[in-house]
Amino acid sequence: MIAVLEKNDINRIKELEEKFSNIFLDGDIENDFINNPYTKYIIYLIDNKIVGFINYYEIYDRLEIVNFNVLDFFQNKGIGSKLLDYLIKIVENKKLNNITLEVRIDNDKAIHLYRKYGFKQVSIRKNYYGNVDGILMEKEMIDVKDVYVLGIESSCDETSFSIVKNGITEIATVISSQIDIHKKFGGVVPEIASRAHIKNITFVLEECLEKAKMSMDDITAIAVTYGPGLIGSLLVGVECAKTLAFLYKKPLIPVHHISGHIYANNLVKRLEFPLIALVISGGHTELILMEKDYSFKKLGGTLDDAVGECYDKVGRVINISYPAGPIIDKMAHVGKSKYNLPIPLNDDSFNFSFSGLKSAVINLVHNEEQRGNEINKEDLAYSFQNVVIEVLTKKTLKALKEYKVKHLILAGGVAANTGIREKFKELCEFNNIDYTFPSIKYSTDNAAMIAASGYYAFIEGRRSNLSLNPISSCELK
Amino acid sequence: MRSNCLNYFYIDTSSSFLYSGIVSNNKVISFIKKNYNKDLSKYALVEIENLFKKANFEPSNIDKIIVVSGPGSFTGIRIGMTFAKIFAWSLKKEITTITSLDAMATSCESNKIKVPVIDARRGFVYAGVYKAQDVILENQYIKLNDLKNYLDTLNEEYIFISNDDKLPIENKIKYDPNILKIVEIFKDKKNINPHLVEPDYLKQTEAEENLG
Repeated sequence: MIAVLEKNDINRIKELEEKFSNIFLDGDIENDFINNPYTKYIIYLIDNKIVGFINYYEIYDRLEIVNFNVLDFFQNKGIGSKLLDYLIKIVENKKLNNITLEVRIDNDKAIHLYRKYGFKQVSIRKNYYGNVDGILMEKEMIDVKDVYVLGIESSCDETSFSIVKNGITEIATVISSQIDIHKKFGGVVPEIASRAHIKNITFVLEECLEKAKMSMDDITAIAVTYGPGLIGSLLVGVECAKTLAFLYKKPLIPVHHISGHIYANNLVKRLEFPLIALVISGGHTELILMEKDYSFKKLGGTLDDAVGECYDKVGRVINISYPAGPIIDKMAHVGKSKYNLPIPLNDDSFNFSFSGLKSAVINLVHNEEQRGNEINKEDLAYSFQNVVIEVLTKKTLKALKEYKVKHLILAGGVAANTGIREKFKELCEFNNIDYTFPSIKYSTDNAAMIAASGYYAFIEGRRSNLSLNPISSCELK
Repeated sequence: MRSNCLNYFYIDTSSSFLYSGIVSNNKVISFIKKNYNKDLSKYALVEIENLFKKANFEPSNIDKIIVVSGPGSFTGIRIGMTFAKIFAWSLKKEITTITSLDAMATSCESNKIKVPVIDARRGFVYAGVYKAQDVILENQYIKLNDLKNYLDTLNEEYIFISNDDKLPIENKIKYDPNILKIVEIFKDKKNINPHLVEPDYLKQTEAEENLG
């Protein structure tokens, strides 16, 4: 078996030095390996003993093989090939550009092996090994340079497929929304959503591939939302992804829905770290700190209703059809300051609470009706949205300050709200904070964001096997 | 018209069981019949992959897919149907659907009137009534008592086929699918465009029922 040598595995390092004492002096490996972050080793173990290794430098977008050796007794058993295979997988996964190495011109066996693996002679270095010439060889990884991820999203009432290149370039996206089906029920009906997903699924997939002028064979990996969301809806997307992964033998990448919303911003502009993400949607209100790709630290979240849910509930109180968010947003732009609403959970935490705000709106409407006053809906929308903006901006700015972060991104369906965008834009510019908002089109659920996120999960080496199961509620990790 | 197909893939996920098999040249070359309770969605694809491995088959070797379209567990149905739909669409395979009740009646060797029933809760069942291979009462969502009354009017001996232990029915035999027989009987059933392959739920959603 092959293992990656860990920098703190002193016993293994000692073992390696002893076994290959013809190459290494005592302390050689520690000095270079422990202090140099670019130095890496993979080792081949038989009966838990090292019999071969590759020592390499991974420097930004390229990899250089420094040392490659198999104990004499274990040579000609394919161990070298297995180590090389493993190394090439690493290079493919990390999307590095090339592998280089030097080899003695008289080492026919090694040169033959490298040629077999696509290494080409670049130049000859005179007397590189004392009085023997060295050959500089290179393997270009052109075939894996571009990663095309097929994204699948079906967590709620949108069936969507998308193909994104290298996590940043959208090739094609198709979204089939069921909004008209659910409208008459005043919200998403889970079983109806599941039924619509299975009805639409091949149509949407076909349209996406046609739009991209690609076939499944061109796809590098398949990324799918596994949760959170409606379990029956998620199931159709996950089964579809697993089936495609099985039929075409492609890697399957599980993607958390919220990571998708965050990476929707990556389609606008490459994320810059560290950043604070404010996730606001029908199911989520969360502040997340990201120090690098695929590192999510939750600073706080809603203790009850999500902000989008609150918009829908307030919409019902003032008789606005589902989904109420965009309509309240429009009305708020027309309304004036007239009603007083309390700022919910106006404390020092990074948590939110919106169920109290919803109750305050219900009480206000009720009291006005009791007094025989007609509610001015635009003015109520204005006051409501103002309070929402107030609490969202206050806590987000506090997080940016406390963690000394200069980048903000908004994510989720409510990030399409123009009132919220305008205020954040104004405040970020005032406070000299760099900000990115997702395009309006990709604020709501879509597969482009899943494919974008899936790309970085792929690079991280995240994979799932065919037992991937949808999960209705799960933390972002 | 007899089809020239030789290799068939059968799948039924309409209950908590996975019933699936590969039939080649009139022989079942690999199959699975196993109860997964709540974990069917987790294991279905893993088991299907094993099924192909055991048979030393590639999905591309399959000529036609026969998938059970329901009635039964709504979620369960969608596991097998999504697989079958994507399989047929992407590899351009022939596909046809049969109902779970068809499969149950076909697998039963009795000479009596055959009545496959699936618990649909609250006193209702999904059921069909079969005499040999002929359907004498269409597959439907029906009150169990109404079904019993109907059966009494037939004045013929009948037998229930069911795996639902809680149903108050007598003269019952357990359902154990005869995959070879099901495939033999239905292999020439008309193909459906994969885009149009849809579950047969036999029941509206509650939201739709309440809307009237």
